[in-house]
Amino acid sequence: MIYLDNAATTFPKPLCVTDEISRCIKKYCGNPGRSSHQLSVKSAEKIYEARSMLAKMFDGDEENVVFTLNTTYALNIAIKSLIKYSTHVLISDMEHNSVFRPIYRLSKEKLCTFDIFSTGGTDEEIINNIISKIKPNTSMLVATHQSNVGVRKLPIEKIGQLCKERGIKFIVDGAQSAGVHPIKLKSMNIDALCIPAHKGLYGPQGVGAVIFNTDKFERSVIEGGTGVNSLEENMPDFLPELFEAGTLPTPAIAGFCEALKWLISLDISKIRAHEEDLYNLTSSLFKENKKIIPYYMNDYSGNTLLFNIKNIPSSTVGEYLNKKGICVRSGFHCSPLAHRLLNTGDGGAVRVSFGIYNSRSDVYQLMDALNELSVKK
Amino acid sequence: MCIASVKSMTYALKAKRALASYYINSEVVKLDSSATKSGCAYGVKFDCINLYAAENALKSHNIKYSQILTS
Repeated sequence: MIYLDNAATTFPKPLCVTDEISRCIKKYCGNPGRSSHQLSVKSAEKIYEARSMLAKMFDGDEENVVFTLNTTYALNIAIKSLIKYSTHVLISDMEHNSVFRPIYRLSKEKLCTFDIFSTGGTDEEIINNIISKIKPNTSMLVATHQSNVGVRKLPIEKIGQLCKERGIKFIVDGAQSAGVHPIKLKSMNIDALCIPAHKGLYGPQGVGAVIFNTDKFERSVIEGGTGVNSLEENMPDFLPELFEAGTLPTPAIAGFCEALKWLISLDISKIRAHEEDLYNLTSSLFKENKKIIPYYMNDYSGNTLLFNIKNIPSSTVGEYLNKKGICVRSGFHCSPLAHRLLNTGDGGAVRVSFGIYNSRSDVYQLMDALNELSVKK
Repeated sequence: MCIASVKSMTYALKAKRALASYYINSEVVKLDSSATKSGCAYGVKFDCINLYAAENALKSHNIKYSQILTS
């Protein structure tokens, strides 16, 4: 089997991750932050270690790391806790539904208005596109760092600087970039970074995080037990408990913690170079088959390619590759804005995405299958 | 023994690390409900002989504690 769907979730996971999940469940999985007995404290210590690893990797503070179910939950918490009602929000034209839908719903309920800025052009042009959309009451900008259809990486450092100058809260969707590109909350002026464990950070599914670089919130989002201030009616007003109602998934966080250690020991720039090598090889081989329509923008080079084969629906390509033992993802990838922009058509497109465990041989086998299919049809 | 009362388990673990960086042994404890008006709370327990150093350690790591209890 050749796995080329790493943008959906990386597979396989490092052995240290699966081992720690198993060890946690077997040896120390008490309820963290609820008691002072040894299993509860051991679980809490592991979770705190994971917070520390994330704080180190993304230049944040441990107590500002809030664990969530995934990036979508992280984005919902960040958006809904930071948004000032009756203000204006900006999002990019590359946003995933995890950003678009919460903002759309808030606007439909007349709690905010929003505009979409274009990510076409150079970094300076993007900044100018944003400036042209800013209104006197713009209070928030939410943007993906790297699109999940792999055609654009946004200049978040420059956007962060602009937001800081204009007093706008800046939320970054790091679903595809965490573990791939360096992200530093403080120097990039990011107010909230939303990430998954299970993609470029090679952790398990079932956990993500929002890392805040602010302590000014408008409201809590999910209310419930936190293990502290139990006699009070309101949620605690401090992080991380303000946003961590209910029991955390300790085994998943324990695995995530080991994934982070593993990743730091490897150096993410080397992983990125490996994935870009596979991207460039695929991209050059695509040019040899005139029936393959790749979707590129600017000079992007990353780990994810989007394409179609002339006159063949993307779902047919996906099914054909699956029969050949190659896992890819077809359709719209929960990113209708990006697909509309790229004009991929009614059937969406096929996405291949590389990870650390892929090799050049995987690319050649993918191309053999695609060439075979394009000749058949 | 002395107990520095902090906001939550997260802060208790942060405090434990801060004390360890000053070579002070400590353990995380759940506080008696009578110690706080708001319900469940946590603290770090250490030998009172280290009180002065412990307060410095917590201050240098920017960890706020509501009170020092003795047991």
